[in-house]
Amino acid sequence: MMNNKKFYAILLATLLSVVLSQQILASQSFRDRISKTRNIGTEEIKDDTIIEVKIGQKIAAKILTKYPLLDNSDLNKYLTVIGRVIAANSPRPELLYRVAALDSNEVISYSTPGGYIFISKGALSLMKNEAELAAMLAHEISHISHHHVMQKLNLQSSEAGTEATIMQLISGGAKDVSELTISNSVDQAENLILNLGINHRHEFEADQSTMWITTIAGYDSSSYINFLERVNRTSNINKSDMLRTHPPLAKRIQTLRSFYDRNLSTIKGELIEERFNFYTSKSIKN
Amino acid sequence: MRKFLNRVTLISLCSTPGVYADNLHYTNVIIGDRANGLAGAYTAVSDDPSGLFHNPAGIIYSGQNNISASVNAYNLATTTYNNVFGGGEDYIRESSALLPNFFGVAQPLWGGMIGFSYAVTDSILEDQDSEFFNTGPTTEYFNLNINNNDSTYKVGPSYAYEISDSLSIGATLYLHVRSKETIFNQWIDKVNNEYEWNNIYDQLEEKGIQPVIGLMWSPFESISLGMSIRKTTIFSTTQNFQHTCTSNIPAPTDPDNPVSGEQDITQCQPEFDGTNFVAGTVRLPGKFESTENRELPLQINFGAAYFASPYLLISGDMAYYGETDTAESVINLSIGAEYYISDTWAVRSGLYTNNANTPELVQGRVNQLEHINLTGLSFSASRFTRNSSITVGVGLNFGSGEAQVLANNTAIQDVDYLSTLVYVSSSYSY
Repeated sequence: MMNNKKFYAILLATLLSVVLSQQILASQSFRDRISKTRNIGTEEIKDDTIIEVKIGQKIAAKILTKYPLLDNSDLNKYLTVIGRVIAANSPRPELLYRVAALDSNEVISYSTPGGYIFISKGALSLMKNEAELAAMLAHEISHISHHHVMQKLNLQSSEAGTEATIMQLISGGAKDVSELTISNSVDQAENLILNLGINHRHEFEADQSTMWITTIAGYDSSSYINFLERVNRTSNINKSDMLRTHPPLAKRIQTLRSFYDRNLSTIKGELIEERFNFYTSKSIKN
Repeated sequence: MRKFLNRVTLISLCSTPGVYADNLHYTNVIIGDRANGLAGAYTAVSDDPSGLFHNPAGIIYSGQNNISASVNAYNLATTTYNNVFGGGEDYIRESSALLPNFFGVAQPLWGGMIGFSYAVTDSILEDQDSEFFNTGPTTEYFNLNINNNDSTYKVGPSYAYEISDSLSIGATLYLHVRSKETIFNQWIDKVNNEYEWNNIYDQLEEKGIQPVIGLMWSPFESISLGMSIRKTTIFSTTQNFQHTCTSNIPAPTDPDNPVSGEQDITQCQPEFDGTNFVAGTVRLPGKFESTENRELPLQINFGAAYFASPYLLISGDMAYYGETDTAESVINLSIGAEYYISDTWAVRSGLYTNNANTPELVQGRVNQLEHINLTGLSFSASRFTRNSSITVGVGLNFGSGEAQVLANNTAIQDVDYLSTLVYVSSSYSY
């Protein structure tokens, strides 16, 4: 019979022997089973989209508790039309994108999963033309198209239909599993979007997509670089907030300029200042 | 207590009904759906919530932010004691239980993973009534009713931390709770209008702690080695045992040497009035109270797993259970395999041993504990959506051995045991 002293002696000896015998550091990715490594967005698109839109709606509501909507329905319609034109040239045209202006002088823009995009009065006021607006919207749409927030949440599917019912029964029926999934994800997503940011790699990826999408949509893609440079030059913008959620602007601009010079400099697009000024003048320029 | 019980009952309660609450075997319940499918060969895998139980170090590799899982299981066990009463008549005990046997949740915290789990590691719900006629030359009718409810729960927190890319450590601290209530009623009609009646009420509450320390080490790509050590220490036991009986069987002339037809003095005897035994007296409940804490074994599990590809996993375990004051040391082995037919379907199967912690029976002795070495087979299928899975599984546990069903009787019976487990479980991340 083994007493407690022997028990702890065995435990200590085992711990020490394993720690001291550390020689080869092996990756643990081999543990991933094929069910865990499926790519997001390649299957079950319908169910994914349903849950993504649900999450997006809830996050959008939370954003609107922090920033009120700008009371200008014509402007919001205009933003949504431009957003949908851009989205039609994006990898996920199946989403119904909605764009609205926030009544805030901060230079901010947010996108939530499912197609909800917000752009602040402060950001609009720094823009010179529709191409810059289109680029800003393309950046946000790129985050949505690439599932950046959903990937960060590691949220990989919805639980709709029969399987959800079975899950609910097995788990005691206390709460709809999909609702549990959504409610937990919304809080995390809100924190990601408003405070933490996604990650730098995803921001660079969205920047590059922006250049392609705006070009395909017929806009001058260099407008995006021009806009970022203007933001960078503007001294009264709180850059620390931006740095918290995005890579340094100078680095982004440098990367974009290099990308533009290599791939897009020979393609000329539209700027469209008149229409942009028409819709924004009432709320923004005055 | 067991000695006392054996002396006063005709059917020995040291034979066990088998479903879950079986102190004579250790692998009565395999916790977790994936672990069940792999026949318990899970110490080196343990990367889902059931890892909180098997090897908490493995939960660090779950690959999910927040995960939880639950298992609901139905178990039906039949123990057949062959030719107990002569004339080829068998004594069959059946037990069934439907219970949620595991729930676990884990999520990242402080650079590691924190978790909480609840496991039913042993459970029985036995509600049995039996009648036998003319089972012996002096017994005309024999009625036996047993209601037995015996469950052991474990609940507690876990934490796992990755020391390096290839090594992690984890710990779980379980509160151990066992609750048992047995009501046993037995009536025997003998020739010459003689009878014997026994009623037993046995209630036990037991509390303790079970610390579990786990290690997970990956010396090479695709290979994982795991180890867990656990020992339950009981710190509180309350047992209330009552025995009431009456009989009009003649008292033995010489209580130390009863002859055939006389009441065995060790059975429920008539009241002794100081000079003579007075037949037909209802004995007041004989009470027995105990606070003695039983000893449970040190358990050490070693496991190895080969993650051959994202589709195939093969794992094996060896579990060592130390000797205690009432049980012999035991080694159980298990091996299991998991194969993904596609990225949405996986099947698992395994084989394990569940050996008895009792010695083999010896001829000429009485009141020996039954000895049945069991073998288990498992099979399960999982359907994955992309952050959840549903698993349906079956398990068989079977074996043959020997027992002494009749108290104070040297006869040894052959025993066949078969237990069938069906379970449904869900797991999801969020």
